[in-house]
Amino acid sequence: MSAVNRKIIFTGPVGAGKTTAIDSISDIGIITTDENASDMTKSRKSNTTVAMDYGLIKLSNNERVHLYGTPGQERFDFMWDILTKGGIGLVLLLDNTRPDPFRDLKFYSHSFRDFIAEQQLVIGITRMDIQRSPNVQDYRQWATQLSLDAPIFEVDARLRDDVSMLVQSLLLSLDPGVIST
Amino acid sequence: MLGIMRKKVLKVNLLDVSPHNKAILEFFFAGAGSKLFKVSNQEEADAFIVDFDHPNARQQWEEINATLNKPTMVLAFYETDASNTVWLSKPLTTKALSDAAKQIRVLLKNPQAYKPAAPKPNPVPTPSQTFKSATPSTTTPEPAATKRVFAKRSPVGSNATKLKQQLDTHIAKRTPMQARPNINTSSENAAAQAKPLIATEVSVEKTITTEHTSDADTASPALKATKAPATINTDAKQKRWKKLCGELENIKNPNAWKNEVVFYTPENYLITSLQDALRLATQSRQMVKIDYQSSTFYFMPEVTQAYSSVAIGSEEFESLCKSPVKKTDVVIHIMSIKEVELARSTLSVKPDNVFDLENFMWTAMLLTSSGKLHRNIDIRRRVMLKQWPNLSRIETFPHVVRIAALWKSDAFNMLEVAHNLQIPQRYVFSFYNAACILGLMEHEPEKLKEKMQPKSPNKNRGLFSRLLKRLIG
Repeated sequence: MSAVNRKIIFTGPVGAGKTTAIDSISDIGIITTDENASDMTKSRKSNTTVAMDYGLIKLSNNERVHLYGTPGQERFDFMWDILTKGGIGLVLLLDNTRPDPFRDLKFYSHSFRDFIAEQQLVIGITRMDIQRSPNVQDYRQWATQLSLDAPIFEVDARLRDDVSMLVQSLLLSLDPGVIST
Repeated sequence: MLGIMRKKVLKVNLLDVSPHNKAILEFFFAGAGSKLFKVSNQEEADAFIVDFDHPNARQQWEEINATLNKPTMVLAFYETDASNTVWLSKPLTTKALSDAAKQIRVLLKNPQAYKPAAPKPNPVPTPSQTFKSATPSTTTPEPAATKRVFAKRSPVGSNATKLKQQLDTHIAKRTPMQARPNINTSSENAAAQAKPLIATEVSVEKTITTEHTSDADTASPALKATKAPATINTDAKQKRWKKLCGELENIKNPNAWKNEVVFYTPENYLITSLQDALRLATQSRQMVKIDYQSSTFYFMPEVTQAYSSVAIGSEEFESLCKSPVKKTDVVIHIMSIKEVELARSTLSVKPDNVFDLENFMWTAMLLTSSGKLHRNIDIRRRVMLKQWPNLSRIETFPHVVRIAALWKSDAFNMLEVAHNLQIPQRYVFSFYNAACILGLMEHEPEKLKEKMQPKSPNKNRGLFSRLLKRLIG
């Protein structure tokens, strides 16, 4: 029996919580490629992902869902195409404390537009506990402006339930008829 | 007041007015002010209303008034020297609007009659005028004095707690005009003269009694709060779901659904007042206070949070939602700076009573409807979900994610959703009610067509099922 491998991609700007989110739902200890931040990133966190993060949900011996996190910095965007190949959906995490979250939404949804058109996007807004504005309704309006059809939730990347809700909505958006068995 | 109401409605035309003041005026005109004012076109209007703090508003008014020359109500923070005008200091109050109507009538008779009084400082800001629903007053107040007062900008200091900081942000974001305390033209009988500033849109004098079921069994409030929903165990969750979604059986004969479905009338419950308050807060972008019996709620639109003196997981809150209310007993008003300052201290000591605003409304709606349907609903009508609710922050119940996903994918009526998902109809009814209160349902047939995207089963359905099971646990 051949193995079934599927991928879910986590993306978003530096510090949005991609590594943490993957760690929240992964069955294995997350594999990261963190390095000391050496640029503007340093102002947000000391370490940052430079190639990718990797986590895994093992459904059976021959059925696995791989969780990949893209590096946040835009200069690593050459990695993004590689990582999305064979993916079933994209989880975009946006940091609400960044100066222009709308710009981030626009940038990432545009960068992954081909993948989103084929698969499904879900959006998680992080750090809303620190910065309440813009709010979820603002993001809904922005998504409509950008013709994005995606569930949008406030999430704390450290909470499994929050990340789980994002992935559940991703799966059910892809196939509303699916039921847990 | 009755004297005023007996007179002809004053026809007014709105020139340049800032969006939030426009929202306040429209709310007032639709409710308590409906017998005082009527919006009209420029030619037919008896008077203009203009916001001098709005860019180019004065210039536009001068140009229009040069030809039409009508008395004008000027909204502005600083008193205007323009002739044939009545100044309304911001923020607006019901009394100021009522007084302005009187003064405009005087001006219409005699353009030289009204002379603005010099501003007087008022050391103690009075609370903003409150309003109940649009019940006409039976008293005739003395003509109001044209006292004008300036107020100090509210000091916004640094705060230790997160909530305080958020509230500070809220205040800081308000424009200087908004940031001024609401100082009305206080007089000894100010309380007696307090009239609705903005009435809730649906005025219910008497409780409507068209429901098929009684809520009498939920009428007695239990004062002791239960545990927060997030912490309750599975059994308690089941109980909670029954409270949120009811226990009604499925409709057996869809062709005769009206005989089987249980209806309710939202206007009989607190939820309609909460909805009015939410609309006011959203449109005016200012904090709104709701008082009902001994309960107090604050809606904070800038931070999309609600304060509730009663925990929303408590039996007391459930009782508040499920017991019929007289709308006149619910008092809603935009909070003055003084009240905001007081609220800040309350919020800092009661952070557990602060909730996500959507979650608050969602839960209140679920508790109110409890699986019943609005008496005017047509369950055969196909509708669609415009946007997903914020499912990570609202109180969930069984099948909520699946309902959202299906309704987002295509237009269905409620029975179709329940049938397709093979779930009890009460969960679909509950979802529909709660999503409607948040404005997330699409009812327009034209828009439904645009959004229809039939989907075939995904080739990964088996894997998705197993992954879902893993995630749900």
